[in-house]
Amino acid sequence: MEERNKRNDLNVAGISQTAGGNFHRVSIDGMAKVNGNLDCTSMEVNGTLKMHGALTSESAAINGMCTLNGPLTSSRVRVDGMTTINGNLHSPELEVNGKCTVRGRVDGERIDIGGVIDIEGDVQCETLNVQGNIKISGFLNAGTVEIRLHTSSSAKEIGGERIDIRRKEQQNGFWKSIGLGGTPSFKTSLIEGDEIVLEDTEADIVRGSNIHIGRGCNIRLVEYSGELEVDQDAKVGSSQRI
Amino acid sequence: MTDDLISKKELLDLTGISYGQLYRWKRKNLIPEEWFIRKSSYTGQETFFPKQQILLRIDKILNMKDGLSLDELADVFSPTLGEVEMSEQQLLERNIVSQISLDLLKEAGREQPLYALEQIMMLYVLDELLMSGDITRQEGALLIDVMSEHYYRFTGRPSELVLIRKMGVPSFMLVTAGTEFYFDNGVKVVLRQPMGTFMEELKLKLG
Repeated sequence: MEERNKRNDLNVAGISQTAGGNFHRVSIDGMAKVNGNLDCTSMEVNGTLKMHGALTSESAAINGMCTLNGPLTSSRVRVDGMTTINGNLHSPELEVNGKCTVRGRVDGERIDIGGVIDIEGDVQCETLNVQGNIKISGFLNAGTVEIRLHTSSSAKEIGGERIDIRRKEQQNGFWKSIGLGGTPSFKTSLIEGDEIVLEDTEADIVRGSNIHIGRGCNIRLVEYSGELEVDQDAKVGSSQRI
Repeated sequence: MTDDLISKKELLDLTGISYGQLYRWKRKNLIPEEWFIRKSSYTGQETFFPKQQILLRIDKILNMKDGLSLDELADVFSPTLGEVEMSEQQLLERNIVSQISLDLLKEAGREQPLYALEQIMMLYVLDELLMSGDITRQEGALLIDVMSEHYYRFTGRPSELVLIRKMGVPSFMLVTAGTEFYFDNGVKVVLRQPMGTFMEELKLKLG
């Protein structure tokens, strides 16, 4: 790859349409449409961007509206606005404080969700930290999963080492005031992990070593090899030591 | 071969590894995605694995884990080709292939001063199959043809080597891993082996 410093910057301040290409810094303050692939060092969107093609960038910050029709590959992605990615998202660090929709799979190391994320494919990462709303239609495979429930979230299946899903102690004013997203709950068909702590979770099967089933859970079958604790306010169909 | 599956629960029981380890290895690409086979059973959806491949793989991971990091292990198992070049002399000295395979390669007119990993791989497969008695010398020549013409197409993707015979006439195929295929009654599948296993063995030998 050519030296990135020798590349030009791309600045859009009004309304513009470009074909894409290789750039150093890309900054979109107005409305832009990119008809092709974009490769850049940093990407900042404060206005509206619509892209048809793949985006490769060392860092990407999206504060406005962004629609990508193609995959996004980056070492750092931060979404504070609204973003729709019609493709896969690959980024070691992903932070979402706005709303993000991914119609593909997500691969990362650290994922922090403070807003809303909706993923159609599988998710693979080392740590997933959610303080907002998450919906995964595929399989979630993560080393550590920590979810604090504000609204109703879901995943098809979860597998990992430490899985910790609990309700938020004090209901945050923001989520309560907008009254969206439903009551705090988590829905999934299967959870498998070494250390599992659950609250307000509805699941078909939970398997693991040390399992704590807290208040508000409704689980059909629990299989454990170490210790199992079940709260009085939890419903467990049957449990089995394996 | 595809019928020989093991369920996830049996696998963990048998090997003594935890869910966490299994998923971590999957994340590190030590266990390929296509080995996780979803099937419905009486308890709902269950995950199964190709029994022989997964047991062999877990055994290797557990035995090599102490010496290598997970990322180094992932390199060993990944199907991509590294940068290696070796002469005929080196290959013989390091006991990677035998003279017979090299002679066969010369007969096929594909002799080279230096062999890249892709070609060493071909020689290694040839050698293994010849030595185990699975194929004849004549079939070896066919193998050289199919591998040198088409193996590059599978760079970075898992593939399988298939040998069929019909009325004694042999034919080799390279296919995408996990592909289903059906033949008429006269055809016998003599051999079906994932290329990945050869590559792992070879990389360990080279490493």
